[in-house]
Amino acid sequence: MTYISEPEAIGEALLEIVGPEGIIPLEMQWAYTVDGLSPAIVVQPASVEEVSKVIGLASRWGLGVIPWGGGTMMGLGNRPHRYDIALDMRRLNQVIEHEPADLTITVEAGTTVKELQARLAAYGQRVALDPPWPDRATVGGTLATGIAGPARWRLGHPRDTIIGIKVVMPDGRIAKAGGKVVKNVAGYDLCKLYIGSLGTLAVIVEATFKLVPTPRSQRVVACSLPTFKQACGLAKELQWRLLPIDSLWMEWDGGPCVLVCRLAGSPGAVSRSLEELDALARQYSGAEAQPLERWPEVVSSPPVAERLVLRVSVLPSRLVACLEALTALEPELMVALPLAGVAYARWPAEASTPNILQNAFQAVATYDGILVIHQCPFKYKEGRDVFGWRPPAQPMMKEIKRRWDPKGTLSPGRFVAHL
Amino acid sequence: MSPFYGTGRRHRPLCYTGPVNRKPLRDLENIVGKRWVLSHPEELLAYEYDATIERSLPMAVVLPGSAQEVAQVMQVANRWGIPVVARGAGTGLSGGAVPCRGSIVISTSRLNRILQIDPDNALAVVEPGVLNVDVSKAAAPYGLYYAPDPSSQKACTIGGNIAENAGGPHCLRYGTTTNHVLAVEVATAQGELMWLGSPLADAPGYDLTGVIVGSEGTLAIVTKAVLRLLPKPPAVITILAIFQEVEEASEAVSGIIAQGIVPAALEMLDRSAIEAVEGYIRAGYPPEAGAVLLIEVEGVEEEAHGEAQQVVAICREMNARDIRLGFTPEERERLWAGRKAALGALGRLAPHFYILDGVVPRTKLPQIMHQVYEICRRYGLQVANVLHAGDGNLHPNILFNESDPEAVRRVVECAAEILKACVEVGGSISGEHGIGYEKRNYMPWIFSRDDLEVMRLLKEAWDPRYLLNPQKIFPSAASPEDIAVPMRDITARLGPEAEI
Repeated sequence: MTYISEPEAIGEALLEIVGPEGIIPLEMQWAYTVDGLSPAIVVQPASVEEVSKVIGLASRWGLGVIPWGGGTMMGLGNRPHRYDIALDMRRLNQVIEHEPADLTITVEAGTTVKELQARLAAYGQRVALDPPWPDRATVGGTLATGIAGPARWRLGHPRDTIIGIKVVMPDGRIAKAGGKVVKNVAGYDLCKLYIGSLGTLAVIVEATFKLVPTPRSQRVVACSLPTFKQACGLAKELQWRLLPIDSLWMEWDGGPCVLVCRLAGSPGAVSRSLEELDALARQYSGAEAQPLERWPEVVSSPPVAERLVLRVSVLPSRLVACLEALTALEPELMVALPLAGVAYARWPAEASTPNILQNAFQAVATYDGILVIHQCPFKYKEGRDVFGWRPPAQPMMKEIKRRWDPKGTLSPGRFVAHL
Repeated sequence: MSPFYGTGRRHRPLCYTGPVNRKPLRDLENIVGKRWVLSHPEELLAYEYDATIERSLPMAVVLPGSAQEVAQVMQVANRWGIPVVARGAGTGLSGGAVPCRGSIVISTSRLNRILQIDPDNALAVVEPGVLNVDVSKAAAPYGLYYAPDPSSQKACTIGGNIAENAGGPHCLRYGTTTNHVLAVEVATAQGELMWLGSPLADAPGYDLTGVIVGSEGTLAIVTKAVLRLLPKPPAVITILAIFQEVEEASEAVSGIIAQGIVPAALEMLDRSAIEAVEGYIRAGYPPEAGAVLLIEVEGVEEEAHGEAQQVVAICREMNARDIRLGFTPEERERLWAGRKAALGALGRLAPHFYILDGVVPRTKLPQIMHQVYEICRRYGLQVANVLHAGDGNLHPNILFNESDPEAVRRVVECAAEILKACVEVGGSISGEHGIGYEKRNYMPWIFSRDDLEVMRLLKEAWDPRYLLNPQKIFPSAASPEDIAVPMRDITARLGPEAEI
């Protein structure tokens, strides 16, 4: 799949841009495999200008570039059409500007979410990003995959928390959108376009976020409930009472359903809410339990997957029925965000994948849901679109990809409908 | 609400005087019926303006009755190469709905149905001509509401809110329109209907809903929208704090934000605004006060009370001379009355006023307030400030008399200088009103040529012929005759070299 006619010349040109410390040695390149494809070269630029030059060069030479953060989500997406350069963004890890009293921060995209949160914690602040494995997941990767964890109920999706962005375009130009103030409607909101675009439109190099204060007190409680119906019913009840819930998710590994809830706020509000939650849980026949802590391993998507993980989106009111339908296909593990209507289900490697896929697509379609193959051994990606769903606006998405990236430089083929 | 409160029209610029081609009009009549196509000059007058300075007559106004008709109108426009401007209630504050010469205006006033309220999933499906306040009214029986609350919410439409990414006092905690729109159906420039986004979370694909919101009618015309509804909070407390000096109030705002409290709303009125309000409705503000803050906190009982206590303590520390609390809906309504009547009240101070919409980082609020007064003093203009202080979003209202053409020129220059000052401290030229016609030539102050070129990629992907709302958002240096004279002068003097 990789055709480089003059690998040495390209290597030299890249070396000139990023210097010897910016080239990953050959023996480490195996770690940058995507769906069974290896890049010809892995570069680690140290500045926005270097990223711009690397991409400019790739565009001129007609090469395919795939940007990398911590690699926790590289299993998501279709098999790339071509893959010559792996662009490891993790040396761009500086905080550009943090004015604590403004509650805003600008960071480079290669910063890990954990580093970012740690810096903010010193000021009693945090940012509403909660990807799985935050010690490895980078800010850029979290935005590019648009992954939102259990904290989305209170803090929202990454799209709701970003206020400015700087990207390198597929021809190497540097462009920004948004700004550094929390409210801003000047120009098109291109931040939104890049979030969840899986590195197919531009490489995110910097992002500015609005911040929220760290709650003064928090408690995690888990409650086991006999059925999905009861778990989702309890979640819904908590939503309606507007208890100060920071995160809320559900885990299931064949036994009872475990609803995990992190309450956060002032000490008074948390302890009052604990009592309320306790009383409610009893109404729903719940019993105290331990969180299973399976969220990150199911929701991350490693570049080399051994298992099958499917992601389901349905209207929250249809989630219970949809989960029940999926259990008939005997997944080993499921996690869900009941208030968002999102669930992930996992099957072991030896399971008959094509069979499960066919039945799961059918089951989810019954509830007007959307099914995405979140991770699977790459041989099953052959000949199919892992995103399953064809958005009605697909022609416009294609047009946007064509105008942004006419040469197909960035992550070619990885997105919805192989864009 | 017009910034030229109680004014007649300004009969000058951009009037359409060219010949009217009857053929496209007949095509339009065939789609929507003769009754819903307006083309007599006296009928068109009602559509030549929004709530800003500029005016211009369209060629015709069409009032489609369905999404299909909007799409068909677009097909006609496309066939004849006629520009199209979508229009909601015309309450916009950046000239976004001011028609361009010879255009067709699509009014959404007949597309005003609430199609569905889904309490189980906290969603509403509405047509674009539905009034903002009517969404919350329809959702109220289910204990839900629609959060974005622009001051014109009793008059403005959801379609217009989406076009401008409208804000409002409660956006401090809940975000602007963009955070509350899940999916939209649009009519494209080519006249196709297309759904963007999905009511389902994490639907794959580029976030096209996200770029349509705030695109000011330049990419496509929204024909339906799926909105997120929120449950009403169990406890709400409104705090009114009265300060002797505007600096103290500004410091209190910075103090509250820096303390890590995110109130639902955090609004400020300065001395001129207070005087106007008191002369108008007697809201109980001491007329000699320098500034008042209106702060709203909400959540479960303990949360709201805890935050209210902290807020009160910070205001005391900043020398608040009086603090009043409202707990019941009636008490809270009374405290809000002054803020809500503020714009109406300004009409008492001068024949006209011009609303600005700048944003600064919140720590720069004391500094920018000082500069606003200083700049207005230099121009000899009186200013009354109503601010979404918690967001750093200021609305200086410059008072003047429109019958004095010299005053108009000074107002526009003064406004440009204030916005420039916002940009210089790291802010932006619009927090919630949009760029529209009015501020497009200031865009190079905050965006580089490459930034704007990339935005053009998006424009051209949707609307390669520039038929949808031309002369908006993008600077128009290419055709100077399209720029209003005062704006051209300012651009020559202040920019566009200045880029941050």
